[in-house]
Amino acid sequence: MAAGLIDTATADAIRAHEAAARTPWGRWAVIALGLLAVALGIALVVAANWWTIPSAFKIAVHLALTVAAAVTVYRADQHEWFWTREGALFLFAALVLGGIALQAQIFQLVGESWRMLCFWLVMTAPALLLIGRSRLNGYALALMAGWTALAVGTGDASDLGRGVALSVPVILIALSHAASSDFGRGLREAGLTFLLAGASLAHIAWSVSIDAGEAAAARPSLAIGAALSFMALALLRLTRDPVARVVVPIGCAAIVAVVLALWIPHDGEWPSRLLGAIIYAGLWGVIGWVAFRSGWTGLFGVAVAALAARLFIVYFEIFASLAMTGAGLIGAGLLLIVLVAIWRRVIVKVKGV
Amino acid sequence: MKRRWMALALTLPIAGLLASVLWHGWQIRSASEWRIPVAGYDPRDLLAGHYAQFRFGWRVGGRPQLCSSGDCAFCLEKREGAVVANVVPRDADCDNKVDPRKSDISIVWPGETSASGLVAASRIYIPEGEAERVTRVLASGRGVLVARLGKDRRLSAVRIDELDGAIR
Repeated sequence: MAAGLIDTATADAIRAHEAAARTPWGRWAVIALGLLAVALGIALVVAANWWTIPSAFKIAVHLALTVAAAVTVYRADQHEWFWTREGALFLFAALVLGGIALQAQIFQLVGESWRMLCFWLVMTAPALLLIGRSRLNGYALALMAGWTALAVGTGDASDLGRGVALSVPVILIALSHAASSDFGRGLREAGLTFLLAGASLAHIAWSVSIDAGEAAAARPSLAIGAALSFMALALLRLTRDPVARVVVPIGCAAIVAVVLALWIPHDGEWPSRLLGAIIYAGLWGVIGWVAFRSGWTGLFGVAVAALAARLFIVYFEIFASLAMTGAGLIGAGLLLIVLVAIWRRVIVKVKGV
Repeated sequence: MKRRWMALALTLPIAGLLASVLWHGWQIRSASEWRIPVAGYDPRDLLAGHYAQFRFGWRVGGRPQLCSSGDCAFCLEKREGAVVANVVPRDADCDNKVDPRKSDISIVWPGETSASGLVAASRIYIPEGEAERVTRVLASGRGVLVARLGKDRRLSAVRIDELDGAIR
C-alpha cells in the first residue's frame, strides 16, 4: 500500500481473506501436546498394571485390534483412501509383531529371535507385498527382512537358512520389480543399501584370520546364498526392467566380493589385507562405472565416497612409525584429492554444467 | 479376484496368531510342573533390566563333560525329594528332557577338573512390583523356580517362590 501497488480496499480484502484462512497452529500444537500426554499416560497406567491384567484378556484385546486394523485396510482399499490404507497396513504389520512378542511374554517363550522374526515374515510379507504401495511399507518390509536375515545369519540356523539369509538383499531388489510403485522403490533402495553395505563390510574379513576349517564350514551357506542371489538377478534380467542394467552388474560384483572374502582361507596379514583392499576398490570401481554409464549420479557419488573412505583407512592400517604414518597421510591425502578432482570432472560431464 | 487374495493375505497373520495361542496354550496344559531350587547367579547384579538371573540348584548326574562342547541336554528326575538333572547327549531320548537352547539355559563349564561343578543358569522376567521380593529370595539362597516342562522339551519359568521345606 505504501509503495502504491494496492489500494486500501484491496489491502482490507487481503487481510480479511488471510484472517479467515489462517490455521490456528499455536492452538493445535497445544491440543496435540495434551493428547500426547493423555496417550502416554494411558500407556503408562496400562504398563503399571500389566501383570494384573489377565493374559486371556490381553490376547483378546490384541487380536481385536489386529482384526480392526485388517478391516480398516480392506475398507480403505475399497474406497481408495491411499494413506488410510497404508497407515492401517503398517499398523497391522506392527500389531502382528506385537502379538508375537505378547505371546512370548505370556507363555514365557525363550530361545533364538530368528524363529519369531521368520514367523512374522512368513505371516505378514504376503499382505505387505500384495497391498503396500508406499515407501513406508516398502521400508518396513525391507527392514524386517534385513533384521531377520541378520538374526538367522548370526543365530543357530542350518546352512540352508544362512544361505537364504545371505540372498535377502538381492531377493528384495528382485521383488521390487513386481511392485512398480513407491513400495517397490523402497524395497529396491533398502535392498541395494543392504547389499552394498554388506559387501563392503565383508571385506573386513580379509583383515582377520580364516583357517581352512572355518572357510570349509562357511562354504555350503555361501554357495546357497550366491546361487539364490544369481538366480534372482537372472530373473530380473529376463524381465528387461531398465533398472536391471544397473543392478545386475552391481549385484554380481557384490556377490563375488562376499564369496571371495569368506571362501578363501587367509591369515589376515598385510598381503591378505592388500588383496581385500584391491577387491573392495574393484567392487566400488564397478559400481561407480555402472552408475556413471547409467547417469545415476547419486550412486556415483556414494561410490566415490566409499573409495575415499577406504583410502583414508589406509592411513590407520600402516600406522606404525612416525615416518610410515607421515607417508600414509601424504599418500592417502593425494589420492583423495585426485579422486575428488576426477569425480568433479565426471559430474560436470554428466550434468553438462 | 484381487480382493479375495487381499482378504486371504490379511486373514493369514490373524489365523497364525490364533493358532499360535492355541498351540502354546495346549503345550502349557499338557506340560508337567517342576519346582527346582535356585539361587542368584551373580551377587553383584541379580536383576538385569526386568530379568532376574539365577542358577539351578539341582543335583547334576549323568555325563556333565558332554556340556564342554555345548552338545548336551538334561533329563530331570525326582530322587529322594530332590531334583536331579542327568546330563545326556542332545539327541538322546528320555522322559522329562530339557533342551538348554530352547529353554534359554546357559551352561558354564568349569573344566575337566571339577565336572560335578557344572553351572546351569537362566533368567526370568520379573514384574516391577515383584523385583524386591525376588531379589531377596534369590540372595538368601532359598529360592524355588516353578517351571513348566512341555512336550517340546522347553522348560518355561513361571515364577520364583520361597523354599517351603518341600524341597531340600
